Amino acid sequence: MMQRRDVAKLAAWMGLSGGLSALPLRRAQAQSRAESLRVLTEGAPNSFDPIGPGVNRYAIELHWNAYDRLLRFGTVERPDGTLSYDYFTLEGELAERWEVSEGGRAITLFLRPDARFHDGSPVTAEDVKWSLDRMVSLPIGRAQFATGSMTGTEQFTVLDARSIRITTPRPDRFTLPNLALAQPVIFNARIARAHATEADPWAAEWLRTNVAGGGAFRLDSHTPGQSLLLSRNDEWKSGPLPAFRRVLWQVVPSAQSRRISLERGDADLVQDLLPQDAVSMREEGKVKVVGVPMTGAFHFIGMNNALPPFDNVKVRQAIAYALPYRQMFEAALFSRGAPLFGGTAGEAEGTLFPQPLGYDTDPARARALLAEAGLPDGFETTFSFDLSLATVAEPVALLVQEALGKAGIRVTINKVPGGQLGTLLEKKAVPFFYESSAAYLAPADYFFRIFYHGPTRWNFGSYDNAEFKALVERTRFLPEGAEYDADVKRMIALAKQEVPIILLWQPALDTGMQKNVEGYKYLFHRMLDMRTLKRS
Amino acid sequence: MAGLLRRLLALVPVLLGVTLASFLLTWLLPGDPAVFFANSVTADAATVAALRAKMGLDLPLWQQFLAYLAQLARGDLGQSIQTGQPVAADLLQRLPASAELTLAALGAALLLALPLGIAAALRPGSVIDHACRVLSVAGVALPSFVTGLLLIYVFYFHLGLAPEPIGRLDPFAIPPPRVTGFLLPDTLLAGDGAGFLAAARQLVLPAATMALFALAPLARMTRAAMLDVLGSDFIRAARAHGLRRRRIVLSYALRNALLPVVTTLGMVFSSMLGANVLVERVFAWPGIGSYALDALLGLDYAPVQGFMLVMAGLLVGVNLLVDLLCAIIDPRSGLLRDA
Repeated sequence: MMQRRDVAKLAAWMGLSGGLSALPLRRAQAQSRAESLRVLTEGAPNSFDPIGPGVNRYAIELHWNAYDRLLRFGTVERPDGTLSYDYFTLEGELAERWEVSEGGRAITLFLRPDARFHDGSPVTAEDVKWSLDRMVSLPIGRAQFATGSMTGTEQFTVLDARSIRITTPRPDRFTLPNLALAQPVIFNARIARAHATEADPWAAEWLRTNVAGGGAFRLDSHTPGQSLLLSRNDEWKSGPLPAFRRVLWQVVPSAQSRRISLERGDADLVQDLLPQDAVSMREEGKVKVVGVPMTGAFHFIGMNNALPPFDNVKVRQAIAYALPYRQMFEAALFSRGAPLFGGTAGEAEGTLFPQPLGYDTDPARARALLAEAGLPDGFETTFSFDLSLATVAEPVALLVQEALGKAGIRVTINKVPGGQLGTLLEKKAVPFFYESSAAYLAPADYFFRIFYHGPTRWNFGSYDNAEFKALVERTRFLPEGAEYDADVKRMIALAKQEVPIILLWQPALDTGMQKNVEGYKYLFHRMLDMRTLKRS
Repeated sequence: MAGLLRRLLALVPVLLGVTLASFLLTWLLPGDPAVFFANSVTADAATVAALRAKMGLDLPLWQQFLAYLAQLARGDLGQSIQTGQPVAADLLQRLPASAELTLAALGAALLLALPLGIAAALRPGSVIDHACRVLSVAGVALPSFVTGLLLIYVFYFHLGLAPEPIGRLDPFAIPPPRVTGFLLPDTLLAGDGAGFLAAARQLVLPAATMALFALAPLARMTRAAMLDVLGSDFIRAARAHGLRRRRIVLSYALRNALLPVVTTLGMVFSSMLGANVLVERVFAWPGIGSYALDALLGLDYAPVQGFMLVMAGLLVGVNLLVDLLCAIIDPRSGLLRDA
């Protein structure tokens, strides 16, 4: 727990002493305020273990900053000057370098000689081995690492105290990027092992509520559901030392309260802004609003391709032409994001996906396609959405209902109580719905493998096309090159022509901050990287 | 006293029934927690099955219930996945926060509602009667998050009189050693005057928001009951005997009118304690209402069951208290009759 002295120091730092420190010196305060950051979010982390069951996104924000990984993605500057992660370059975090050998089937990683955990002990290959073993030994970690051909502990071999080798059955483009994701953190194995039990060999119980790592920030105190206090790890060697010495992270569920606190100057940075707030705060100009379209994330309208009438591609196309995209985008997101409607129809535009599907509002064409499908009088269906997404989904649903009504499709809206749509999707019991999801790894074949393929609920359209299936399976281990590009382009063309699900847009991630807070970096997991932030 | 004992004994079947009901209700909910918590897009059927086994959801229902009962017998309410904490710890942390806010709000509402209701009943159709009506209607008609935001906007954002509306204490204050979990008594026990003031300042806006909501039923009930009593024969008799007006109103009329008011008070208290999610959200107040709702929406059933159990226990307790108060106010009715 925090000591009284620490609190007083922190209060002085934040320039909000309120009588706690006896003689607050104005200048000293100004200096130290520059080194403290106060962050407000909607929710709180529910676990410090990246691969526990039901771990929420706020958990990522904690373990991203409190733990190191072997690798991390590089940084690029977006056109508006905002920093963003770059999937296509990797750099070392705990590993200072790595070598790929045996035709791509072996990766040897060399650890930084000076890297230490928070308790001062050096980071060794044994710690790395234990952490990677843990990934493949727990269900959620194993499912993720399997996408990079890592499934068994025998694939991780300690060479010496500072090098470790990862072998895979085949060369896999996804092995290295998997090491840079949020989940494979490197634990202080000595501490973690001490808390393992026979029933819980990977110390899941203890690591859920304790941090045993060596990241850029230490967790000083935690009031569950209310606040966390982090301090900089001054011995951090895996990157440039963060500018903020202290981060006070508080949970404020109401978006309006977060906004008021930021505008009044009490909070430094506010996450989870509502789109309408982002628009009006930007107009008022009192604080800075950074909005980045979430790469890999997408909102979409799903159709169960296994159920009539959605098994008919003409019906799916008809719906894709009937939707009032622009109105939906404006009403649901105040146009904050990147559209996935419009664009080139029928063929790929580059090899990145999601990309605009080439459909735009065209009611005449929608009616014609419905007639061709043998349904000139339309049909009846229900449109479901999860109430936890209501702020965006409700306007979308109403506009879908209205627009499809004009084409003769009679839509009943079904609001599914929070959290239950997932269960219905798992049972493949929903014909027509609104949902959102995201993939962390950028390549198009990865996206298709998760969202357009296989029996899981993530194949939202239950898409089952023999050619597409063959392409997804073929590209799994295909190295980048002309052949890979051609296959991906064919898959993109199919996704456009057959439209198993209708992609709508990539929403923007809006973050509000004081004008003097700089260095904000957008990350694939969409949570805050406290390490790059500074006060100008 | 026998009546009191009987009431206390009746708690046992009530709580058992609630346990069974809360267990079955959460089981009946269509969401599958294993699916919900396998929320990573790389999770497949094997991941879901592994999670289901880990959470014990693959066992037959009666086994799950027995396991739950055994757990309860150990005083363990289970583990919340949403907060990552034991449910008992969460509730212990949050119940005092909710109770302190509710009691403060109820106290404020009562201080305003009783005089207002009495005055309105004494002069029906007067200005004060209309004022009482307007205030009641506004209190009920304005959703509490609107009132809350309005108060924040005026008193924090513009005037800067109120502290930042986040939580029970400002983030830099040191919480007092926990004795009751209620901050106001705890700060006083610790002899921390500044802490008491700080906690009280944080409490003012959310309590005012809730008080406005509770004002309406209390003021209306006081007014109606007073009107009823003031028109009855014994008041007329008292007047005819030339008793002082003050004595008639406060001793004879009010005491008789208090019965329905106290009953309403119990109901208002129970609903405010567990169902003030919006006020808790707006003021980032760590209460049990938003805790239970978040758990329900997140298919996190242990906290929901724990919440239902604790609330049922509290409700029974509050009802008992109300009955006792009624017995004191009117010895002819209620619990202590056969004492």
